[in-house]
Amino acid sequence: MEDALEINGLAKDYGDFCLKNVTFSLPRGYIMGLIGPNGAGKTTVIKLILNLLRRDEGSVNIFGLDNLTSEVEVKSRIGFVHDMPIFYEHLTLKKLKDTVAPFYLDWDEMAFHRLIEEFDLPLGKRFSRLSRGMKMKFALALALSHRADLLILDEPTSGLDPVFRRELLTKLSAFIQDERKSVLFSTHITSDLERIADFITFIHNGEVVFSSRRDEVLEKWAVVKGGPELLAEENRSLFRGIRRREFVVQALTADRAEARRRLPKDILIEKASLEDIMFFLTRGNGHA
Amino acid sequence: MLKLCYKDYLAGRWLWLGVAVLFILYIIQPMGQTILIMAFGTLAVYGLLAVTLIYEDQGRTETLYASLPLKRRTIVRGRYLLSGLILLGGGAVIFGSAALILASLKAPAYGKALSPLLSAEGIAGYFLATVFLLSSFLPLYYRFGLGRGNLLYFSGLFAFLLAVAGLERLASGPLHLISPLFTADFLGDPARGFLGLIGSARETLGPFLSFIFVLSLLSLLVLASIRLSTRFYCRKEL
Repeated sequence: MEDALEINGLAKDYGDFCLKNVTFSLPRGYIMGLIGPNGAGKTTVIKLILNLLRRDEGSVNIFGLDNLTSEVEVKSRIGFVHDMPIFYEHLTLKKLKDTVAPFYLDWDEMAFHRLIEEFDLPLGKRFSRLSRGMKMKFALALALSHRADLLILDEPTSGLDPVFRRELLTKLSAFIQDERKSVLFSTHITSDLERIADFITFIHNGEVVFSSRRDEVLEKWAVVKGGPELLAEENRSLFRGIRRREFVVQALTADRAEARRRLPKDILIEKASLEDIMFFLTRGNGHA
Repeated sequence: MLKLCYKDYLAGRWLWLGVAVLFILYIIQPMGQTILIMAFGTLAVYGLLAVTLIYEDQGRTETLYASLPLKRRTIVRGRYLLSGLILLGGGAVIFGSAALILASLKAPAYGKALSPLLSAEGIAGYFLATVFLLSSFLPLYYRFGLGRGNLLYFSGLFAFLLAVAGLERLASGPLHLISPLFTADFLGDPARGFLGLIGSARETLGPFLSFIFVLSLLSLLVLASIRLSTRFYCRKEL
């Protein structure tokens, strides 16, 4: 069975920012977290998938179909939530639904009303009067009401309270219970992904640093803590990022087993969290 | 494409109603100036379209609807269909209210102002003017966005009017090609002058040929405009 999403050599040049050779794939039935600091290129990747931006190079295939040549078919199978929910502010939720629903052949009115009830959303209220959390819930309700096979969420949890974040993650986990469905979820709140993501793709400065199974990432990557002797020349090749304080050195390695083999026994080697990885890879190249 | 029009209708319907009411309130004043009624009517039609674009711009909803299962060219064509419907709806309000006022209010000022509007020349003039305005505006909107598009549009329109006036001066003055068009009579009520021009063309070509000529001119304008808008919008990054 083809992947839900397959991106190959995707490139986009803005002049002051470049997305370079982005390649990764998301199998069906899984959740992928797209992580990276602000400005890393996550939203650009998502916009290229949705054909909101013109790519310079590369290809995007969704369920085996090119996102440009089969645009309508592809988009009808995608549910999306943009980073800022964008709707006509002066319309009520019911009217907004009426502006979106007719474009989907598979629109499920019952599912929509079920979600509205579940999220406790007032259909007669104007969009402008909703809180950010409620706006996000409404966008999610729309995205989940047309039997989409791939859900693409761009920073859906940023600025939201932990209760709703937990609720959203539960919803996403339930969504992929149907093994044909997949989720691509961009965020810089890595703790969310440690709960639910099966795959992690890390983007920094427009390039994919890695794209692997979450368990593999958490198993392989580690933070090494020790004294300044850690920075000996023969160890340097082990490290992908270093933080040095007066007497303590912390370093990130992508090969925990190798680090354990090569480093002295008294060096502390701990599993790295996604946040550690993101921190070291983006900020951990110099001194503290 | 009708779904796109329905979406714009839902977004702009109350302001559309407001614009229509404003026009009727305006036309009901016995001003006796066909040109002002025509200009206001044309502007009202532009206003109806502008309302939907302003809402779209304010809410940044372009990104949302471009993410739906639609091709960019369908979105552009939907906007042209909406413009066509607005043109017809605006025409119905303008000519309908003019006919109603003329039939129910017998003051001579109404007859002077509204009768030319309800002639074949008046109807052709309305379609020529509004189709020209909308067809020249939409490509600029898709290329430069609402703010810069409008600025360029109105500057261009002003320059176009100046150029027409200049050419008329040149042709009727030093070159002696035509007799002066923009006479005191014409300027006193240029809509009649404009309608008079259409009337002369109609007399020269005959009703059938002049109808075909107007239709071909409008079709050419619209097709060129759709092509340009589609090209610009397909390249636009949202």
